[in-house]
Amino acid sequence: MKHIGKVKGTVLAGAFVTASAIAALAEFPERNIEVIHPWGPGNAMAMSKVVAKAMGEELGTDMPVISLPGAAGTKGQKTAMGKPADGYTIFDGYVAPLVLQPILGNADWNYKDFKPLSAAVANAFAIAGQLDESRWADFQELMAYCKENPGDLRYSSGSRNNLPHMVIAKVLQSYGCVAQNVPYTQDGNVFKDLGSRVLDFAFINVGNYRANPDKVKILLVLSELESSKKAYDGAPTIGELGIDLGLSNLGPMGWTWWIVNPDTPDDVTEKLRGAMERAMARPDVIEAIEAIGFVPLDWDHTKYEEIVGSVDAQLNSMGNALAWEEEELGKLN
Amino acid sequence: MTSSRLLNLAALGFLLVVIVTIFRQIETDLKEQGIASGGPYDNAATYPRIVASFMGILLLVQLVTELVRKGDTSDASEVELSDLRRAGMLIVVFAVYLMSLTTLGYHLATTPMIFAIMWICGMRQYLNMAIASLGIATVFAFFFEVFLNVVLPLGIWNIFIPW
Amino acid sequence: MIVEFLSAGLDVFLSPLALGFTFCGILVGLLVGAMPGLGPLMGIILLLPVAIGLPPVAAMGFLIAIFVGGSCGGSVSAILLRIPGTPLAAATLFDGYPLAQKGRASDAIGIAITSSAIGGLIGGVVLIFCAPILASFAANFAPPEYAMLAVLGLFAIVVISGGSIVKGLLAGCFGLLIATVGTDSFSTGLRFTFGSHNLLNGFHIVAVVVGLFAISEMAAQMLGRDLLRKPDVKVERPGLGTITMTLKHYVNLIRSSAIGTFFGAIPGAGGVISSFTSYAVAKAAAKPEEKYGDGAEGGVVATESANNATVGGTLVPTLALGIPGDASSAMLLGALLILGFIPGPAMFENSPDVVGGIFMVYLASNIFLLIAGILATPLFVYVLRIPKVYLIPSILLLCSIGTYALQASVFDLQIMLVFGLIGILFRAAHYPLAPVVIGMILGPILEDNLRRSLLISREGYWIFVDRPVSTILVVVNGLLLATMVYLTIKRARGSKQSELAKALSADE
Repeated sequence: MKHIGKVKGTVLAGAFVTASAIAALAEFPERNIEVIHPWGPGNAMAMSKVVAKAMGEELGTDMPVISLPGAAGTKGQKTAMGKPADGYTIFDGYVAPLVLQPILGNADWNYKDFKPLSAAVANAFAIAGQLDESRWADFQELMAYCKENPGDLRYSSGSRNNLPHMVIAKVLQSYGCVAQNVPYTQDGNVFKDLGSRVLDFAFINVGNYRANPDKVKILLVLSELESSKKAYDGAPTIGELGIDLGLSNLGPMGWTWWIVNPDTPDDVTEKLRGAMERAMARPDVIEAIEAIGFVPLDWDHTKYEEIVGSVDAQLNSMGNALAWEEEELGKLN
Repeated sequence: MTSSRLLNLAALGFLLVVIVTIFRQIETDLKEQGIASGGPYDNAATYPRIVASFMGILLLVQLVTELVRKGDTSDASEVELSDLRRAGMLIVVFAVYLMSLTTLGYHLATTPMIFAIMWICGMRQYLNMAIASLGIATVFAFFFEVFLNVVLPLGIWNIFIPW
Repeated sequence: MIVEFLSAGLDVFLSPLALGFTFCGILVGLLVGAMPGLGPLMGIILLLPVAIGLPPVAAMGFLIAIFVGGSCGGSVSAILLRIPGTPLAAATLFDGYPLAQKGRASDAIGIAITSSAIGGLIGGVVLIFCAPILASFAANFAPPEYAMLAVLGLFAIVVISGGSIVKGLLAGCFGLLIATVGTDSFSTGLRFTFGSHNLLNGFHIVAVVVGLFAISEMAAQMLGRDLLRKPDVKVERPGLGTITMTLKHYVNLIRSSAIGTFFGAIPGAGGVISSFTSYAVAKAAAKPEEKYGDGAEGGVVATESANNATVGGTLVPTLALGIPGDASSAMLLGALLILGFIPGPAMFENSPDVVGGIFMVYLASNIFLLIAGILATPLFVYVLRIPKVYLIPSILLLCSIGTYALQASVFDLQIMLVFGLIGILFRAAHYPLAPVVIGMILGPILEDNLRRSLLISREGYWIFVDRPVSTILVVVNGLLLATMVYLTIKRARGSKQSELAKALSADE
C-alpha cells in the first residue's frame, strides 16, 4: 500500500518531484534527521548540538536539534513518540522525562519503552551559597541553622519537582531542614538573586558555575564522582560529608541517553548506533563536552538496561522527599 | 446601528468568551488538579483570576461607552461586499492549505494554494499564474530546506526534493 | 566597562556570517519598510524563524538590521507614492512628497537615508553608554522590582501610545492571559491546555504574532482594489551630494536624534511619536523661508533622524532591563529568549560578547544603511512596482513555512490561523495589536516575579514597598493608572483626531 501511495504521489507531483522517487530507494539516511531536545536553549542544548553535529558528519547528513521544552521535558518526549518510527527522529532522552516523571506519575511510559542508541553526556549539580555569608561557614552549619529556623530559608532548585529539587529535598530531609523552594524558569536569574541575597542557597550547574566561579560559594557537590568534584574546584561532595542519599553513579546527576522509537527497523537503529558511538569517541567531541563542564559518557546501547535501570531503581526507592517537603511546608503555613 | 458598532460588540463578545472560559477552567480543571487554592507556590489560579476580573471591569466600561455613544458613523469605514468576499476567500483557501499540508505535503499543496490566491486577486493569465506559483513555492522550499535545514511537511506519500 | 563590551563584541561581530546577515537584514528591512502595509515589526516577525537558526550575534544582527532598515524604508514610498510605507514615515510625507513633486525625489530619498543613518548612529552612542549603566544600576533588582517593571511596561504602552485606553488595556490583558496557557512553573499544574499535549508549553509566541499581525494584514490587503496594479514609479540613484545636504542641517539632526532616542527609551512611546514631535519642534524652530510642509529638506531630516534614533533608544530598556519599549523590541527580546539569552543585568554579566556584539551590529547596520540605501535605491523602487498579487501569497507562504520551521509542528500552524482570525477581528474593531504582544512577553515576567516575591516575602504584599526602587515603581504605576482613568473620562467627552493620532492608530 505504502509503495503504491508513493508511486501515485510521484505521478501527481509530476516531473517536479520525480527525483524524490529515485532518492527514496537510496539508503538511510536520505534526508535530515531531527533530534528532539526537551529543554530550552542553553548549555544542555549546546551539548546536544555538539553530539548531533558529529553524528551527522558520521552519517553524511544534517541533524538539526529542535528544542521542545515544557512540562519537565514530557512535551518533547510525547511529540517525539508521535513521529513515525523511521529513524528520522531521535529523542534526547534526559533523566527527567525518561525516568523521573514516570516515577512521579506524570507520564505513562518508562525507560524500557525505547530503543537506546548510546549514552551521551552527564552533568553534576551542586548547592551554592552566598559569597560573604555570615550565618554559616559550611554546609553542616547551614543545615543546623535551617533546623533551628524551620521554613525561614529560601532556596531554588530551578524548576519545581525536577531532579535537583528531588535530590536537594532528600538532602534537606536527611538533616530535618524545612526550607521554601522558589521556582525560577531561567537559571541565570537564580544565580543573580543568590548574589543579591534574595535567596539563601540554590542549585547550580557546572555551566553557570564555570561562567562566574568567584561569585558564589559551592557548599556541596551532589555527586560522589571525582570528575564532579574537579568540575567544582574541589568543593566537598555528598560522599565526603557522609550523606547517604541512596544514590550512586549517575543517580543524583542530570544525564541523557539518545533513544529512538522501539519500532524503528533494526538496520536503521544499527546505523544510528554505529554513528553515535563513533561520534562520542571522537577527541574533538570529548574536548568540546568537557570544555563546558559536562562529562562525556562512553556506554554503548548494551549497557542501557543496566545503567538506566539502576538509576530507575534508586530514584524509585529513595522515597518521595518532595512529598515530605510539601507536607512540612504545609504544616508551617 | 453602524457596522463599526457591530464589530465592536463582536470583539467584546469574543473577549467575554475568553473571560468566561478562564473562570470555567479554574472552577473545573484547575480545581481537579488541586492548583486553584493555597499560597503562591501551589495556587495557579489567582493570577489569571485577577487579570480576567480586571478585563471584566474594562469590558463593562467599554460596553457602556459603546452603548451610550449615539450613532457614531464617523469612523465606520464602508467596505463593499465584493471586497470583503476576496478577503474571506483568502482565509478559506489558506485554512484549507494548512489543513491539507499534513496529508498532501508541502510540495503538492503549495503551488495550488498560490495559484488560487492569485485567482482570487483577479489574475486570469493562467500560464503566468502557473509559472509564478510553481516558482514561488520552489524558491521558498529551496531556501528553507537547503539553507535552514528545515524538513518541510512530507505528506502521506513522503514527497521531498533531494536538492 | 564600555570598551570591554565593545572589544568582546568585536570578535563575534567580525565573522562573515554576522556581517553578511547584518547587511542582508538592512536590505530586507528597507524592502519591508518600503512596501506599504509591512514595516520593521512585520519584517522581524516574518524572519524570526530564519534568525533563530543562526549564532546569536548573527541572528540579532539580522533582526536589528531589519528594525533599522525598516524604520527608514517607509520614507521611500512616502516620498514617491505619497503612501507612508510604515506609520513611522507618516510625518516624512509632509515635506518628502512635495520635494518629489518638485523633481527632487532622489534628493529626498538620499536625505532620508542619510538622516536615518546619522540619527541611528547617535541613538547607538546613547545605547552604548546608557545600557551598561542602566544594567549595573538594575543588577540588584529582585523579583519585586521586576514585577513592578512589567506592570510599568504594560501601562506605559497603553497610556503613551494614544488611542483608546480601555481597548489598549483589554488587548494587553488578553496578551497576559494568552501567556498563562501551558504548564505553570510554580504548581507544575496544567493551565488552560484543554488536554492537548501541544499546549504543555503554551502558545509559541511566533505562531501567535505571525497570525495576529501578518495574516490579518494580508486579509486587509485583499480588501484593496489595487491587487494587480503596478505602481508607476521612477527615480534616479541619489548622489553622494545628499550626504552634505543633510549635514548642513546639523542642529536639526542632533536635536531630532536626541528627541528620538529619548522617546525610544521610554517604554511605549516609539518611533511615530518621536518623528511627529521632532517634526513639530523643527518646524517651530525653522525660519519662514524654509517653507515647512512645502518641500523643506529639514522636515525630512527631522522625522527620519528621529525615528531611527528611536531604535537605539528602545534597545536600552530592552537589553538592560528585559522590558521592551514597543512591539518590535518585544520581538527582539523574544528572539533573544529563544536563543537562550535572558535580557537584563545578568546578560551584561554573563554574556558580554553577545551584548557587545549587539552594540556592534547596531552601529554597523546604520553604516550599512547608508551604503545600501544609497546604492540600492533603484532596487527598492523596482520592488514597489511588484503587484500585490505576487506579494500576498509569498508572504502567506513565508508565514506558514516560518512558523512550521520553529518546532516542525502543524499545530503551530493552526494556532497561527486562529490568531489570524482574532487579529482580523481586533483590527476591524480598532483594537491595538501591539499591547497583545507586549502582554504576552511581559506576562510570564509579571506572574513569575509576583509569585516569587510573595514566596520570598516574610510579610506578604509589603515586600513591594519594603524596597526603595520597588516602592518608587509602585508609585509610578499608581500615577499611570490615575492618568488612564483621567484620560478615559476626558476622551469620552469627545475630542478631535490629530494627524498624530491617525498615524498612531495605524501603527500596528
